[in-house]
Amino acid sequence: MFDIETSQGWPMPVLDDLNRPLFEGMKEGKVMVQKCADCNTWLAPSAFICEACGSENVPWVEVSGKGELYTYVVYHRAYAPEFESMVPYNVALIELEEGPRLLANIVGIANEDLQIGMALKPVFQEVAEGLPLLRFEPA
Amino acid sequence: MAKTEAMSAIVGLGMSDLSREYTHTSWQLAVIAIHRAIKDAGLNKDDIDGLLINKSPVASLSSLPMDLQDYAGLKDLNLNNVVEAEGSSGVQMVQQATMAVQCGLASTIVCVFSDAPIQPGISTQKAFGMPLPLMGKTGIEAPTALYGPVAAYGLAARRYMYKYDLTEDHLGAVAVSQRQWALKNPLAMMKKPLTMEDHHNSPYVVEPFHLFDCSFPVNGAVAVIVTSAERAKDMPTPPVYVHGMGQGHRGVTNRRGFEPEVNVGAKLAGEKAYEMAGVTPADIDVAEFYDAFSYCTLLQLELYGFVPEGGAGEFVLDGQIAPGGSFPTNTGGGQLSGYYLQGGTPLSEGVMQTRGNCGERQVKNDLVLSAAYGGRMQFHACMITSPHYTL
Repeated sequence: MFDIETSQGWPMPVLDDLNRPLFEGMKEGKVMVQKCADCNTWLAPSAFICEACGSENVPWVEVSGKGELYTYVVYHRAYAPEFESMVPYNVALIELEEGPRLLANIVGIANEDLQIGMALKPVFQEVAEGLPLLRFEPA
Repeated sequence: MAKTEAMSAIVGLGMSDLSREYTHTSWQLAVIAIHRAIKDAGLNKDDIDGLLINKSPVASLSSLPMDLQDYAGLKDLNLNNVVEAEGSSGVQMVQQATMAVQCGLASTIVCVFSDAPIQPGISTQKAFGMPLPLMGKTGIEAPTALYGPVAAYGLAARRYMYKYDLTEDHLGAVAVSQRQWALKNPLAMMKKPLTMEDHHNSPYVVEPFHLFDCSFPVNGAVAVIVTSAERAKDMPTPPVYVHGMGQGHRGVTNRRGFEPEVNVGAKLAGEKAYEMAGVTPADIDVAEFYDAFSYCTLLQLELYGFVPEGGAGEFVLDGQIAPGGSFPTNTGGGQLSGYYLQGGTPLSEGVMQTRGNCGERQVKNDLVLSAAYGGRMQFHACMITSPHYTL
């Protein structure tokens, strides 16, 4: 379980040293992931070390954000009041062209039309003040 | 088949009353189950010299603390430990008890799982509905509105269904088969028949899961008593000999080239257990799985080697795990239709089947596989039991 801050009507990310660059990147319209500086393995956020070689040198790198749908679910009930107006809504894993997978919502398409493997591109949507959340839409 | 002798035996089984309403705290349920297990084994509490405790990973530490020893009136223990391996702990406790018995740390160990997710003011729906870092992405899940285990498993299930071209019929067949078993189990919570149509007509919770693809919270406790295989020969209950055990924790890699949703550690756990027991999957008569969601049974049937990978959907749709099928699975109804007591579900039904006292639902039981997992199918543990001291 982790702390959730919902004072803005949306669960805000609890920032720490490991995930901060991801959310700071969103404010600048950037998709940020990590890449091992020693063995060049692309890493899904948030990595403390490179899981391939064990290096601690895993800087954040901006990528295009192009990718494809890896898997998804569609919620038919709201587990918290702030999501009630969104139901039915999706949550997905997107595989970026560099390889890492990100958790995000897919917008701009009906849930019934989602298909694993479909091409996606990033879009930033202000879900709460100060949170232009990284989402994806059909490319 | 190589000749192997049992490593330990389960000689007592005790369960609290099971309920979908709040009746007792978790530790109270645990105490009830412990004393029923002691009585079942024909022992008294002073014979117990070891205690292993398993709480739900989402329950507080104080709900089932090491003080359980005192709540249960157990004295002069040589072993006392909270086993924390999430849902796999139910089986891991028996593994740890076996090792402790083998090396002489303790001789008569009670292993207990207890949980009371339904509390006054907390409905069954809310009991597990909180945001959980099940994807291992602390801070990222909540803003995407990924709440609750149903969706975390749903993401994995969708990928699995995509990989093997499965439909809701294949998921529904698991629910329908297990309900048939539940109707033969007096302990099962679900008492009405379930058809494929009922399954498909039930509302989606988180797609691809309909309501009947999901287990449901139950308050209850399961305790077993583990002792040496030699000693078990003189005990009053039919011994449940432990011949093999294994664990599998593959690690989750979220990038191209890896498919952690499908390649879970069950295969690793099974291979170790089969090697230890000197048997193959074809020798196993019946399997009891942790089946929090319907697809979990399909995936485990494949990874424990009972059907080829990708073949479980058709196998189950053909009725093969249901009563009368070629490979009885989750014979108490599993967690979908029996009772969700995490690792305590496969543990208790595996013990009952191995003893041979399952009445109407009893199946051939020379070799029984009981398997549990934790996390989003990340942490796996299994054991192979038999009524026979020597295989």
